[in-house]
Amino acid sequence: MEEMTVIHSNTTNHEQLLDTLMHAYGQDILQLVYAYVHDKTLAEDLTQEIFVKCYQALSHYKGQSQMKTWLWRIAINHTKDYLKSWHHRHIQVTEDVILQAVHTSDNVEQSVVQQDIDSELAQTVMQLPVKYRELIYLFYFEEWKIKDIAHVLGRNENTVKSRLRKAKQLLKERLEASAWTND
Amino acid sequence: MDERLKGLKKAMQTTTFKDLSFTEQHKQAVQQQVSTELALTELLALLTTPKTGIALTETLHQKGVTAIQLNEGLVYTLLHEAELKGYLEGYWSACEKYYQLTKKGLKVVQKQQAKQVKRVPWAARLQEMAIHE
Repeated sequence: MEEMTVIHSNTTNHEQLLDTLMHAYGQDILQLVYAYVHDKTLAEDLTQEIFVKCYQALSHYKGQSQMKTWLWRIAINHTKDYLKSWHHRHIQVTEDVILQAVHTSDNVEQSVVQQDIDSELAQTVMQLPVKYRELIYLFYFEEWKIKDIAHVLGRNENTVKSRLRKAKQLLKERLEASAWTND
Repeated sequence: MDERLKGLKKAMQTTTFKDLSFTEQHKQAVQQQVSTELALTELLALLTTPKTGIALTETLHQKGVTAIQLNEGLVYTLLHEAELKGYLEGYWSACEKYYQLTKKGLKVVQKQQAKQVKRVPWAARLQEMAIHE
């Protein structure tokens, strides 16, 4: 009987913790996932799945890394698993292409100059291959340290550094190329 | 390039993410799924001895399982799904259907209990998070 009480009080705490996590990081996780999948509905679905997964994993969390890092790892792995899945590779890809096409034509009609510059940068980042995009996103948008990015992505720091350099180079080339076509 | 990338945060907030919002509805959907799973855990734990659907519903009610309090029919949905997964089997006796765990179901229950008994000082962790926010 005593054991049942322990289980019960523990689960209540896990639910509380899940609420706190959703409150603190829900929006961040949604944006992170969107940065990978580029699709609003899909990002919303995956974010919900991530928090359910996080709840299920709470009993395995032993405090060896910060809770935020831990949650980001779950989120990134879950999203990448989706991107690798049969469903995504066979069905989603076409929608992605359509979506990007829509975005591009939106861009043409935008008139405010600063907004054009901003959206050009954001869009060019969003069109980078995932392995470069994630680094630009984690480093410049979320402002994580190289060391933490390496941990979250499960890679060593040197790989992260050199890939980030390559990502910036690629981004620069693409921005210059689009400036050329716009002129 | 570095200079321009300093503006990335603002750029993405105002363009890429402008229609993106983690709402109360999303939160509730997660909570609902979690509480359904919790109800399933409680339900399976009760079936180490055979019970009828009515008896189960009553006990889960008394234990204060939220998902069941909100929707009593859920018991039968969960029973049906667990039966399909092979976690439990039903049999008829004196015009009532009884449910009982199978070997497979018993393993699931034991695994869940082992997982949950490990105590972690969550209260401390919650406080720690509140300070960092």
